[in-house]
Amino acid sequence: MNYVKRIFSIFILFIISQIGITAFGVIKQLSLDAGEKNLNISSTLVTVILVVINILFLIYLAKRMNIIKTNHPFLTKKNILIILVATLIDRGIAIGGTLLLNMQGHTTTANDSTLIKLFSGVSPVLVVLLLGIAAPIMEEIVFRGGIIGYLVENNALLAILISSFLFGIIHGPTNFISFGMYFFMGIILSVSYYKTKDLRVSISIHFLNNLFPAIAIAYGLI
Amino acid sequence: MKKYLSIFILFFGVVANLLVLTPQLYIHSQQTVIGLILGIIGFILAIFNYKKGYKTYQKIAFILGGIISIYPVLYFTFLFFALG
Repeated sequence: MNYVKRIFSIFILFIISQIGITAFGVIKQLSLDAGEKNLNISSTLVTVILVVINILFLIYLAKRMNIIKTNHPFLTKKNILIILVATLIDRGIAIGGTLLLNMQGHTTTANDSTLIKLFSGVSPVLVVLLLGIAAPIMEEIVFRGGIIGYLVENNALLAILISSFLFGIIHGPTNFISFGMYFFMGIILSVSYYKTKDLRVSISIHFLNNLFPAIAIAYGLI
Repeated sequence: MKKYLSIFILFFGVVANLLVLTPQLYIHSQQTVIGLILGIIGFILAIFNYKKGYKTYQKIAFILGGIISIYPVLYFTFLFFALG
């Protein structure tokens, strides 16, 4: 019964984590329907406020569920080293995976190409907020904190595998390479979280990993 | 040769930019590699020669040349790092 309750809690957390991006999708579609190619300032402002509220609410829930613990030092030498090394490995996996996809005739993953389309004509601030800040916080709370630290806390290997598998699936892979890319990135994030027991570490890794593509998408470089 | 070194470095930088960042001049994918090599060489030459005792206007040319040369390299590195 306890497991059912926990699975339900994680599911609810996941649904809540999707509110911000769904609201952005609806606003963007309404804007396109109104014949506006670029998202106007008021729509951008409304989306920013909604996303910030969404992030804060999710953090509040995660703290109440004891998923985020902030009672120990974060920026220690060990944590900084883990963040830097894991970010480099994650970037290496993403770059390697994309190059492999290119060799097979795909420009990028389905997830990335959807993001590029979705964020065209959107303020760089909103792109960086959604991709660089909101996505890492929400995905880490659900997949790392929720699954590893809350749902399957007594079996590390199983927890890491489930978390990484779901992380891979949720990014909408279209072939084995794109699934592998996100799965192995999930493994790195999961191991970092498991080793440090600090969600802020995996959030930082995810943030740094998403930041470069977010800037590139925000300014139309890719 | 030393007299024209600053112009040479500026030329390297301009060519690197034209080869890497100008879509109108993009003919073959290999030109990106040549452009990046030129950019790196230009930047290294600018740094090494800046430290030697040259006149002020030459030093300014080295700084400009260094920035112009390294710009396409940094841009390309950023794009590569942002893949995926």
